[in-house]
Amino acid sequence: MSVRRAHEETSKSDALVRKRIEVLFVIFALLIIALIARAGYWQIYKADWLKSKAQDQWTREIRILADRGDILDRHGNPLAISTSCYTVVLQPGVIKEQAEILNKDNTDQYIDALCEDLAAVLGLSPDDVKAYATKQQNQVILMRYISDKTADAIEGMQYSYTVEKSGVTETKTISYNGILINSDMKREYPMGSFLTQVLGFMAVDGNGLEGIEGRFDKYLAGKNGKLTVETDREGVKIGGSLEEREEPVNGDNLQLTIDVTLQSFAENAVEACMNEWDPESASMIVMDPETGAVLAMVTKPDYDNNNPPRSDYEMLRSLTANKNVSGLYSPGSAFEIITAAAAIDTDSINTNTFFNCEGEKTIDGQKLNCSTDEAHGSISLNQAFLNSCSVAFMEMAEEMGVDTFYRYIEGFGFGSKSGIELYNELAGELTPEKYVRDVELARIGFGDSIMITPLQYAAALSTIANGGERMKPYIAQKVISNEGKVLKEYSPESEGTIISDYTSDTILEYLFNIVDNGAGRYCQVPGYEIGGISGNTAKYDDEGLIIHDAYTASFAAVAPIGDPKLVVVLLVDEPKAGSNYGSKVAAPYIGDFLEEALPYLNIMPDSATNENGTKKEVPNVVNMTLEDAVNKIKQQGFGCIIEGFDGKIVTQIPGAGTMLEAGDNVVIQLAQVSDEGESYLVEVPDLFGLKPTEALKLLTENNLTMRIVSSGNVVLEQYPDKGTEVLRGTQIAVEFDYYEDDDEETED
Amino acid sequence: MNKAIQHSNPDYIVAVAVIVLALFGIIMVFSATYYSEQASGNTGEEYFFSQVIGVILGILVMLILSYIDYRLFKNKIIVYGLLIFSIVFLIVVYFTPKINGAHRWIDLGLFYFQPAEVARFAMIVFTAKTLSEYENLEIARSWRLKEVFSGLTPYFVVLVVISGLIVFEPSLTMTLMLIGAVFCMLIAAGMKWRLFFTMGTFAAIAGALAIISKKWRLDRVMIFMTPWEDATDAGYQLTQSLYALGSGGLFGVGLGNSKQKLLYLTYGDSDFILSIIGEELGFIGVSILLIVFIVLIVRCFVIALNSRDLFATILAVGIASTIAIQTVLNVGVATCSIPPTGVPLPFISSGNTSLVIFMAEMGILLNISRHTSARQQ
Repeated sequence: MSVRRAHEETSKSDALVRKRIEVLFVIFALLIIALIARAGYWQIYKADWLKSKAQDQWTREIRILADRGDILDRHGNPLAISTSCYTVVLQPGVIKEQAEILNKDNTDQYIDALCEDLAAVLGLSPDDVKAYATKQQNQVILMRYISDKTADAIEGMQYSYTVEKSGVTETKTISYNGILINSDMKREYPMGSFLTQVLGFMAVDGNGLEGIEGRFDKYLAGKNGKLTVETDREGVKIGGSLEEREEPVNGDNLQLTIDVTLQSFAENAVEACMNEWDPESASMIVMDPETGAVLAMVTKPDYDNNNPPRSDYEMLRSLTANKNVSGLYSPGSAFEIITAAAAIDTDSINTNTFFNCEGEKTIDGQKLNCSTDEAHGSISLNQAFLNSCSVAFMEMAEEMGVDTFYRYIEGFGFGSKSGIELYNELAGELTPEKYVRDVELARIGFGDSIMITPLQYAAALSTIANGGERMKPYIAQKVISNEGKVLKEYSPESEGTIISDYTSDTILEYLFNIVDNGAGRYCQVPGYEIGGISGNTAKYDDEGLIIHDAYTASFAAVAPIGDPKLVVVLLVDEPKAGSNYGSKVAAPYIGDFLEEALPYLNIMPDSATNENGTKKEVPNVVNMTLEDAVNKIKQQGFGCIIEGFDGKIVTQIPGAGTMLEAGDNVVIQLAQVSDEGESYLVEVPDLFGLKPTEALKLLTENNLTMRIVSSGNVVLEQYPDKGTEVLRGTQIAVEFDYYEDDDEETED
Repeated sequence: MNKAIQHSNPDYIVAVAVIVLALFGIIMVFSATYYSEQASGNTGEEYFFSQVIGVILGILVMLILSYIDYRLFKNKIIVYGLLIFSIVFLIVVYFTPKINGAHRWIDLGLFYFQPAEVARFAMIVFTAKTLSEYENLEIARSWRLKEVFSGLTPYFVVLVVISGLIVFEPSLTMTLMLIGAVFCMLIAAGMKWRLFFTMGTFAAIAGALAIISKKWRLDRVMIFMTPWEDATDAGYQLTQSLYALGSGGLFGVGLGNSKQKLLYLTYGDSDFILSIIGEELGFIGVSILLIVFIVLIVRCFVIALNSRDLFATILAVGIASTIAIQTVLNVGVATCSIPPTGVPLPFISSGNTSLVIFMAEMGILLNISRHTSARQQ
């Protein structure tokens, strides 16, 4: 190859190589320019979308629990309160990771130390803790409802270990990794097994599920707040990062019409009935006939609201049923006052009407027996009540006819829901008017062929007791914000006048007679005039056949009959021991209840009738000035003992109207009183060391109320101090504290 | 011919660009690793110091090589020595413990040594030497594939052996980058386009079959089309990379302020360092960086054009192509433009073998630039 040729070749080859290299670098340059454009697509065009997604992963939301509102009785006593507490959560993965970082060969060293320390603080066994700490889960709840002291103790726990660095052994201390302390809320029911079905319970997640807790959840729950923080991928908060806090809105408090004291009397009465007669269930409802407010509502058997039997769903469901609104029964003779009220109100009969009872009556070809086997003969209305003569009431129903009778039945509220603020209320069973034949009409007349609820009956009896006005039953009184502002108020609601004053008075007179001379005498309370009526009926199975030996017994009372303040209905479902008569099974317990309830309501027993002319009546001096009072008492020839120093006369012993011999002393008590007036002075009991339920019980017994200043499980402080004389009804401020550690120690 | 060649100064643009990139790399590696190293209980400065050492070493090697006549690499002993060294260590690496699931690295205590990086360099030198011999050049420019293969059999045997050893590390991506650089050199040498496309088609079909044969492999390759459908697993790194780029926006969140580096984005110091750069310095930072790369790569090709002999030209093309291919792959992955694979960004990412080898290659290039061809004068 000549040099020249080689040179030509090289030139040719140079040109080709040049061209090729130019192609290559153009291609690479274009590729990189395309990639710049691609980066621009993400960093400009898609930037906002990507950034918001990235933001989501950088931030964690921590829930700040809202305080759930309290449920209070009509005087402000707590029935359900919320206390903040903490939940210990373990992160087994994080624990394992930390253990491996510290000592790859012996991870148990760290895990065991963690479990032992936790177990010691929480009072558990280390093995149990370890079982949780090594679960194959991201997070496990180790323990709920721990106090802030325990939470602090856990957060203060430290792990010490030794490291060898270039021959020198060094001891290092770190906080444990993988234990979370989450804030939580605990619902407490200071009274325990008390008003169980009315209050209901909450789901484990903190939502109200049943009863008032469920029905009023939207007010009680409040709205949880949240804390948004920036963290790394492991969830570790980044120092100096932005933090957004959305404050929680605490729930509103709900005040019920329930009176904690009356409720506890009712609970005791029903409990006594349960013990004596061993029924399937017993339910009592106490209503203020003037307003329709429910003052007490009991269904037993029940459970401690602090610890519902969640593990047994069927049992929980059956125990949760509030029989006062969802338990249907056939009222039997108790319904006769409705029949009579309708008949009298329509002038279909009057108090002089006589009925002819032949012991049975055949209607539409069906023979209906009277309540007793023998014929009552010619019988007055009063005797018809006293003897519970079914025939008389069949005739009344027949005489009125379906239209008229149904107008009253429906007017009294039977066959429809009252609309009370409780779940699962039933309307009862009332045959539609157009299907009612004469025989059904007659049956309804004596309380058969109709199914009602205790609430319906209490509301109907209230209408009779208050002079004829139908008051809508209600149990919620006020929704109050945390700042004390009344957000919603439920006031008594009239649904029209059903019967006249005259009818009302007449029926009350008969009711009084039943208690005074008839089957209702078991409910008598010395010194009080009480009206009442019993009912007892066989139970029917699903196919309408009578169940052998299964009865419902009920009694309803109005007291005092002259100026009714309370209407009480007690329904006993399938009493087992001996009797099935409402008068025996139910009436005595209503008597027990009234004996405590009436004095509590400042309705004092009447003294013995004026048998001696030398006795004089004690005048009423309450609210008078001291001078006037002393003069008035002296005028009657009584002595006067003055207690207290200044203020108004708040009470006198004995009460006005009592008959005393001349020269007997009348004690008058002076005290500074609020505008509300009438009050006794009571001594504040010593609450120190008591549990919430015990403290509230003791205060209630002393006619005092409780205001919880800080929550806990043991009373630490109270104000006013023990022994201080205060007005009845005064709120005692009570400061609780947690002492669970002590409890555990004593258990050990 | 010697008269036509004159000694001149090295290409300062290339030298400055390389040093600027390497120093910038130190800063970004430090920024990307500080938090994660602290989170795992270290001081946070480990990567920084390692990178500083790598850069110092790299600059020294670059300076030294820029003064050593590049024709040294034409020397048979050097070329075959490099090849044998590579093959020996590619075999040795099989007998070392697996690191990250592959036999790619040998733990030398101070740093991890990656034989495939050396092998790629050796192959480039070998290719340049082979093609710069006139007879071989003629064969490479034949019209028939058969002639090319039969004429250059020893060369292709070496190529297959080295590629095969790397494929079975396994490191498919490294193999592709090596073959890519060799192809660029063949193209520059004047291989017929027709042959290039024929070979390319065969390679593409083989690759496609390998991918389609396994469903998981296909899914993994295609994940870049739909990274959000599996954002917690296969698409995790891609989505995290895009979060970083998107969060940076036009101007970035500022140096050191990346949130994605808080353990969200893994390999933020190496394969995904561009994402952290994009987050902290924004689109503007990314653009400037990539323009520097374009300038560097174009300058490298210009050196190839101006070199005084064919060996220098083809060697320079090999080096320029290596940098260009690896840059495109790295940026392509970080911007979710190509199937994901772990490739460091030249001069920037942590990893000392790669850094020192690249700097060495730049040293050779700088020396080539000192011997410019008279034809350009």
